[in-house]
Amino acid sequence: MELTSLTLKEALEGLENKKFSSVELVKSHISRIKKFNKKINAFVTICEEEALKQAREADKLIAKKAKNALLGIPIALKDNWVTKGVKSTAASKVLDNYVPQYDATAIVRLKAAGAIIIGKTNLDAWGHGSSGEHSDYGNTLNPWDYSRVTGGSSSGSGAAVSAGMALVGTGTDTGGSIRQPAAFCNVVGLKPTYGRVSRYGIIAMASSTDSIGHLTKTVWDSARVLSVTAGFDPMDATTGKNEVPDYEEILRGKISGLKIGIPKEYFGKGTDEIVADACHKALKVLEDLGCKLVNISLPHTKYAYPVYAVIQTSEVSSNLLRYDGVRYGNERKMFGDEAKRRIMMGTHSLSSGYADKYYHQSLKGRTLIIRDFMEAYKKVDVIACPVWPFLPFKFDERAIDPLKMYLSDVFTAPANVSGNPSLSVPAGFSRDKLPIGIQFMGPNYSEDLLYKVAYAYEQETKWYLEKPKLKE
Amino acid sequence: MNKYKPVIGLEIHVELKTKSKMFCGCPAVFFGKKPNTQTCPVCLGLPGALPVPNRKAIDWTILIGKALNCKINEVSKFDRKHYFYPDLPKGYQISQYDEPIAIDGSLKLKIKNEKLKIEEKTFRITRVHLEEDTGKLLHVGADTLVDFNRSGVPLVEVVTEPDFDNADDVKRFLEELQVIIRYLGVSDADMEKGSMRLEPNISVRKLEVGSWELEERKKPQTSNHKPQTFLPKYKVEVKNINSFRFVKQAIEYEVERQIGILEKGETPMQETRGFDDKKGITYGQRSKEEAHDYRYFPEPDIPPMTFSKKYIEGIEVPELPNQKVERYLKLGLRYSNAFTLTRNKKLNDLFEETTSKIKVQDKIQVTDIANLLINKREFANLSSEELYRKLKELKSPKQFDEKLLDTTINQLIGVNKKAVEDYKKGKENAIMFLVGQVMGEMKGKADAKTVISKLKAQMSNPNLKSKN
Amino acid sequence: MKKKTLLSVENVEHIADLAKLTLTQDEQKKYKEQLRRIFDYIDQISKLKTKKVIETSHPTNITNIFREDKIDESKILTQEEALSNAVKKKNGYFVVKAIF
Repeated sequence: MELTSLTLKEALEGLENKKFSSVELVKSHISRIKKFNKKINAFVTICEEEALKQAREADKLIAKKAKNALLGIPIALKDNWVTKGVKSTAASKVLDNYVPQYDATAIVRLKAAGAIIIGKTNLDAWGHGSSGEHSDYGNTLNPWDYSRVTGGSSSGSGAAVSAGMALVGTGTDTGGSIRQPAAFCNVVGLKPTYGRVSRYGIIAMASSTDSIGHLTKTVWDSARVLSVTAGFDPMDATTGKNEVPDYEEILRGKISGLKIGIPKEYFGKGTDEIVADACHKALKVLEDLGCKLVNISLPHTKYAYPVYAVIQTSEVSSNLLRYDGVRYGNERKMFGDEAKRRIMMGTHSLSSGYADKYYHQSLKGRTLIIRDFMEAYKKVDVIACPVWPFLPFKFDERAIDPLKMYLSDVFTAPANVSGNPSLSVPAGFSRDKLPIGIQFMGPNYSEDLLYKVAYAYEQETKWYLEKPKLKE
Repeated sequence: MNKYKPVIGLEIHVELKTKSKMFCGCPAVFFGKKPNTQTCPVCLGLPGALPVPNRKAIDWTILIGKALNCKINEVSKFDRKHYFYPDLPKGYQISQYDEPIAIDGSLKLKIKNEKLKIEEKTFRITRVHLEEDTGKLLHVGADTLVDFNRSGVPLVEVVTEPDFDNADDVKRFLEELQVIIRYLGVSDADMEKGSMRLEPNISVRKLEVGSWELEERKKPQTSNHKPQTFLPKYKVEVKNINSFRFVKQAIEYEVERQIGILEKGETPMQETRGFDDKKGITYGQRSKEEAHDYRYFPEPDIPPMTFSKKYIEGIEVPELPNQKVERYLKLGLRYSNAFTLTRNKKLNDLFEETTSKIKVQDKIQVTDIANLLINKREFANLSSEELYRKLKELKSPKQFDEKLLDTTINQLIGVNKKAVEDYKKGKENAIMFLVGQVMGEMKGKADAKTVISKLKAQMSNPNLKSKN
Repeated sequence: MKKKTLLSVENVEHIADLAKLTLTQDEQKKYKEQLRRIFDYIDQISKLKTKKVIETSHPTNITNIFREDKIDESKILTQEEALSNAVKKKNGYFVVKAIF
């Protein structure tokens, strides 16, 4: 049995049934990392020694029949998740020597559930990117085609899970940064409701749109992780007090009768035919399962990206002011090109004489976009649409033009503006075996519903069984 | 006649004495602690840290606002104020911009004007808002050292309208504000220790000759009417006034300096100046003209706050100094005594506690307590029980040794045969001579009435021997 | 009045100054061009009908989240921890280039 081909669910079952040990599980993942990471560059830091130590501890607990949600499971953390005692760089030279003095709340919860941290994954520095081409530690290659991007900013986590280097890769989604690599890497990516998972200890990008989530091989795997990380945190005043439902129980429920909205603005000229096709095929599967497809409109869609860009860069410009090289990190001149550009975009949007035109106008635009979604959810239960307007692209294809790159986010940014949850699941491949993803969006705190729809679709199509053939 | 009129507005910061800091659970008391030992990811501005506001600090800000007769906003929020300085770890300060907790208040003060008459002046409070303090800088040689123990301590900012036109009023206002804050128990408000800080904004207006304002001055002041005024086009902020005793000096120096410039027909530069207390001068720091572009925007990490009418009403303002003064005047105290007794909370608490002990039979008046406390400052350190006992002692019939008194009376009657004879002959006054003698012997430890009655008794009945 | 955003080099210099970024001459030119293009694209938001629309600064409906006035020992860092990533430190203090 190839341990690195297992899903999280299968690994948990295998550990419980003593088919293998946690040490064996972790060792197999570390070997895989050592074999392929030089090429793929999914990891910034590998925690081999500590991971094996924890695996031995986990095995002792398993022997005592201890039960825990993620006991003995190797997970990878995006390198903008502040990890106590482990270098956390946000993939930027500014923090290349920063060793945090505390753990993010989400990490505390994952550790408490028995998870083992196998390493810190690469990302577009500070989360600034949609392709994975803006890390100060080099590009992460798409395991499905090394000449193409993984999608970003959670590029390393997407590649790591896809390439069998970790069973879970955590992420952050500010404008699409979990869903985009998920779609390009044939894995499941959850952007939870804003405030569902604590942001305490996650290096802030845009405070009002950062959503803390994860990438996994399957929908059930994703639900298991969310049940650990979700919930109110007194250290984060923006977390919701909503109860955490039993996601795993709910996702097995029947979906017939569910209304799925198809927003016309996402299926227009700008969307490649092959992507639109894959989505329509997916929707047909759901229709056959009893769902009702409803055509809807989200009229302010074309303004969602510029509204997002202003709010995000404004908050970025503010959140990055603390990096002055005094208490930690290197000087500000070490910021990369993309970071500098976004800082300036945001500073300009907030500056005297421009703040009304850009920042305040965008906050109003946000209200209109939220209304679009609220109106839509009166008619449908979930909304389905593509994640990207196109297939995984080659390196430098879009990076040469910043604006072109930013426009990759047009389908993902709206959910960040509204704060609604969205789940990206594999929806097939192109002729060249390039992954395509479909996303399901829902009203706030409807992750259970999204899982239900996605699970039903996943079980019918089982795209996750396809694995990339890795070259060293 | 004065051609110039100072126009002064105040920005006062008050450090709240909460147990914990404004946005984290670090101790808010930092005095005397080793540097950087009271910090956490939040107040140190570490990557990923998030602020969560201290409810008590918010309640106390509402309290201060109410004490200053402000309107408490039913919706309020925090905003980010951006600027770079090494003592500001996040590169922005969490403060309040357009929706502060309290607005539109006032403070009425009874002030002696130039004619030495007491007039009531009203100073308007623009706003009272809440923010966080910065770390502290220490300059040592070529280095600047930073200690973040103070970073994140709650700070209330009180801003007044430019209603002041002289330094004495400013000092009086500050003193009253200090007493109020101390009465509320929310801060030590100590200028020397930095828990109360003043930054006056000072300009000077040139009064046009022949203007109605100059005319107004000739008429007797009949009302508190504040005439419409135009504000000068510049203002100078003065920082670093570290003690009450420098307030007057700093303001007066700056006003003179500005007048000097205006006399030359020039306009003083809009800027921030520091006060050098050793030289007694203000000096230029950085230009307020190229003002910081603070790029205020709502703090996304902290949800907005809403206060119901009931919640605001529930925050009760205790009796304030000026209300106490009114009450004391009705009880018969002189104004100056009433004023003195309200300047210090400890003294006032003692006064109030002691007056509450008054029993009719003890025949002690409120004014007695007041007089004693004011004239004998050493008594201010007593407890209210001890003080009340002292008062009873001073008022009540003197305790004395009755045996000793009888013996003394016997003796003196024996020795002063002539006085006794005179009394028996009908000279009533002679008894007073004897009383004097007795009192002298008893060293005052007897009361006159008892002495007189015993003398009379003895003299009328020589067989009444002392009970040995 | 719809005005095209004309970002000049002075603008870019000012923005960089506010953000404490030092740019080379070449970078100033580059960013001027890029920012111009980007804000030309963003300018379409002025077409949004927002006259009577309120601003949404928080995407949730949450209000009134506070902490009680208590000391949380568990989060306090030791002096060593606080200084552990400092570039320059001295006697328990962080060191910065002298001000004034």
